[in-house]
Amino acid sequence: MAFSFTEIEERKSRVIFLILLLLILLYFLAAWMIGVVIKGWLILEEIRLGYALKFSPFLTFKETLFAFGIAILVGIIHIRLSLKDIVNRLLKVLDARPLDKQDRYHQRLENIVEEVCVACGGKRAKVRVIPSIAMNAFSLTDLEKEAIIGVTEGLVSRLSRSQLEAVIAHEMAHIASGDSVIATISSSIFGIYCAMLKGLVGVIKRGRASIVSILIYVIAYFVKLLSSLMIIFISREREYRADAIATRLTRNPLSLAEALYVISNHYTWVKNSDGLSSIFFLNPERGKLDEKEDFFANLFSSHPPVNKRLKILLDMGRQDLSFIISSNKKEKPILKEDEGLKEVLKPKPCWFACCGGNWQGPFTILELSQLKWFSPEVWVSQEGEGERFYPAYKNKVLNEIFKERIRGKSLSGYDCPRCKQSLIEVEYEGTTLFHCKFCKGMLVFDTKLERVLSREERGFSERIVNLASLIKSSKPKIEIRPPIAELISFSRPKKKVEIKPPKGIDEFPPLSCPKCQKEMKRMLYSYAYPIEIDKCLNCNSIWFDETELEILQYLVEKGAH
Amino acid sequence: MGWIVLGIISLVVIGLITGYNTLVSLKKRVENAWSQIDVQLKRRYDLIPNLIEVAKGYLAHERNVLENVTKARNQAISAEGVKAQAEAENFLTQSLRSLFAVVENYPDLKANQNMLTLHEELTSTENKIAFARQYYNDEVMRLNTTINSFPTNLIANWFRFSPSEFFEIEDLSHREAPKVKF
Repeated sequence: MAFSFTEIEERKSRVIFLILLLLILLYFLAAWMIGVVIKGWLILEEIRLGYALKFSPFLTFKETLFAFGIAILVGIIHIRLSLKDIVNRLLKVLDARPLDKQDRYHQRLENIVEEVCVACGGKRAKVRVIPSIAMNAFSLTDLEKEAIIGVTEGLVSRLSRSQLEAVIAHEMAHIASGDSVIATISSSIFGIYCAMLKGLVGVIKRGRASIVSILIYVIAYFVKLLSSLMIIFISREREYRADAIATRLTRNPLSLAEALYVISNHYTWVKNSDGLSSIFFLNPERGKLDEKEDFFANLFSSHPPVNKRLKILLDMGRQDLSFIISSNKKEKPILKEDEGLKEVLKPKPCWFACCGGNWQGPFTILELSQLKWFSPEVWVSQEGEGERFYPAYKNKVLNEIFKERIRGKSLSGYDCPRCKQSLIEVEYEGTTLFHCKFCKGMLVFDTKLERVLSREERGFSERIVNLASLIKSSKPKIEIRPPIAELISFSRPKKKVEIKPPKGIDEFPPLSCPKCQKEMKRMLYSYAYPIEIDKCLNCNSIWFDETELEILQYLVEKGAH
Repeated sequence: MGWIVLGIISLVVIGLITGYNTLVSLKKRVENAWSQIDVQLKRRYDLIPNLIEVAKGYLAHERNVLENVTKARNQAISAEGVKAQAEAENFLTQSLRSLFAVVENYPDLKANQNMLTLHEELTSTENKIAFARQYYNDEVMRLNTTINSFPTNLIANWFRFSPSEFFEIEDLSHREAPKVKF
């Protein structure tokens, strides 16, 4: 493998030293500029007050030294602050979560990362997942040699095993060759400027600008421009090299080519990733600049053009682009019969119960507990026991149902907000959701919605397709707030201005969240997908009524293809 | 004059030391890579009994397939040395493959939750074994190349470093695809 640990350590120290020098230089220039401005202002003041010109606006030697001293001080403070706990801060900014062991796709991801670690000779890496439908991956290393590979939910769900392995191998290649150290440190350091600039833009546009803030804005912009030049250190060459190392690890250039193709045709933007683009697989802010090849494009964009990367990989595999396009056209039956939902609880022995002389069943324990007429003296019989039957209270397991009824606790821990019955945990698209058997509603917790929307295992019945086209074509009765014009003027949604989806039209009283008991807000999922949902703003749980989740899934899938 | 001789001697000594250290570190990396393979193989041995347990209930009529797997596993555990172990492992891989081919015909077993998890775990372990072998072979290649190139081959001969064996299929009959008998 490329470098040993000691070599990476030495490299890190050199990199940090260079960055420190660069920072000090920048601060020195900034301080110098401030000095000139202050002196110029003083001169103007003196002219106004009638004094003679005593000195030139340019700094004397002593003042230059003074500016230099301040620059060193500020530079060192900056580096100390930025290098503290980099990885955790960056992970928090990107909203990267740990794996969910219950989720089938996450388990597969964990296995794949372990496989790639073995291929690298056992270097451990931790995995994090960003809950977003976009497709992208990143890698981070910090000074204590902790390596982190991150992916988005969209990537985990949409790529096949070999494609996912290729992407993870690429990120691992960055880590093993020491690239991600530079990328992480420089992203962390210069990320501060991006955040500061964003804040200043907000301040200025709100009309509260003063001379001081405009000055700081100019200087910060100047620094940010120079930091883009830092990207020369993180040049496009590194991406090519990481592709090559990844191919050497997996011995399979075509999977990486396929993955590149699929991802590049998809949405790659990740929230809060301004200034951090060098750690990602594809540039989250992809635009025309990346695809060009002239001198300036090579300087300022952090990722090479996808076409060139594809060509190199395809040449290695001795195929051409048509191979990828044809292998990508999966015949996916989007119209399938509704397969029904499988309960997560281990299938207990089946029970029959006698209601008014008729034997009904077979039921599982949960279904029994939800039957309205089920009470302790009802006759029951178990499937394997043949003709034996007995009243329900004689069985210990069934007695638990009655005890819990008295106690008022529900069996799965959550109750349906509409029918107040127990929710059942079901397996859905590789993860678990809570389902109400009576009103067929679905409760989706925090990050699970993005997973469900990106995964395409379930088929949809014709009824869903018809309902979906009805929703798409109807114009929902909405009040638009805030005015669209103000939203469109900024290219990215900012934190302070929240796009509030308009209210829905259901007349049922507001539901209360099964998890935290707060009131859920009824709203449309988004302008693009005007499906009515109930969302708990406290714990981010969403309640979907009967067909709503499937319609949303169908529309998202259709939109993605 | 004397200084030049001293300079040359010190250069040679430094060269010797560097060469020796390189050989030692490469040898250690090869040993580390081998132990990686060992770890993954042990994991596979541990998973197989669970697999047999889950499959036993459903595959009452396919007892010889199950027995093959158990036999291959026991053989692999007791194998000694790189070559013997490589052969036994290949045999085990093939018997597992025929087992999974048979499982395809039993949709109940295929959909069983335990079976799915085990299948995923075994696939992952197989991949890890393949990667570990690949890494081991890469390291062996580097070691052998260094041992055989000039000038390190002199140092290697002097200190008796021997090249390591590759983890590969020796017997060509193992390269045939498993025949599925109906």
